[in-house]
Amino acid sequence: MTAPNKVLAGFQASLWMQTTATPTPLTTANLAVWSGQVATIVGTAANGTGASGMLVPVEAIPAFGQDDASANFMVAGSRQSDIIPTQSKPTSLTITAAWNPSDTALLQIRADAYSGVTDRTYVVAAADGSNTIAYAFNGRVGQFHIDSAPGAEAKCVFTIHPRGNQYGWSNT
Amino acid sequence: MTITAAWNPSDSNLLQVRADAYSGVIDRTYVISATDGTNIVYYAFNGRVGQFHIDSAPGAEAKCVFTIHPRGNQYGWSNNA
Repeated sequence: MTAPNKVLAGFQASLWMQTTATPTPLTTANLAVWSGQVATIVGTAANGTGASGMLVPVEAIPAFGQDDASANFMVAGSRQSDIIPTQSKPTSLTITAAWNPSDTALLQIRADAYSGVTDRTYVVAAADGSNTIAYAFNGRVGQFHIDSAPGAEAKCVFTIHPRGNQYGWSNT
Repeated sequence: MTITAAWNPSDSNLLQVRADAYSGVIDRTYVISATDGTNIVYYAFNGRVGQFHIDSAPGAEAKCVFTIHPRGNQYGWSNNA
């Protein structure tokens, strides 16, 4: 199979995470390897094998990828300055999920946030039905909180902070 | 320049931009061409790509957003006249 060759709709993305309380996150090199690595975290619904991963029941996937970082150089007497990209970290993802207090994935995320030092591999998988492209990163969870405002279902909100440089792209 | 494109994960140009952003040190010449059908004016510059990210919000097609930071002084105007 090859990567999807079409413009994808937003709802085709899903979020997956490693199982177990103390996972071994993928190496930076393997974050860009689909077969036997990223595919083991992505479930069969998104064309993975799913042996070591589970779906996180999020309402929507926020923007994912790189943050911007740049250095601005100016030289006196020079006509113009120079802006060049510098090493930028993967962007943090603030995620909202409907709060089911018995959901295994949400309980694991709550435990990770309680710890604050658990590195775990997460994968955003965009599937068009038959083919998938994956953005995998290692991150830690923080700011887990519940919004139980009346007038709507209770929501569980948390932020995943990816570790620097530890991300990669892959596809089926 | 911060640029938005519809995200086709197999588009070779977007894949090259993504690879450039992953590297962060690749200088590439970009050209904006403005044409009225007969004549064309060009703005060419050298730049590096950063902040490549995907916006997959439901309710719309997924978007790929990235920023090209042109290198200082490295641009020029030309035309086909």
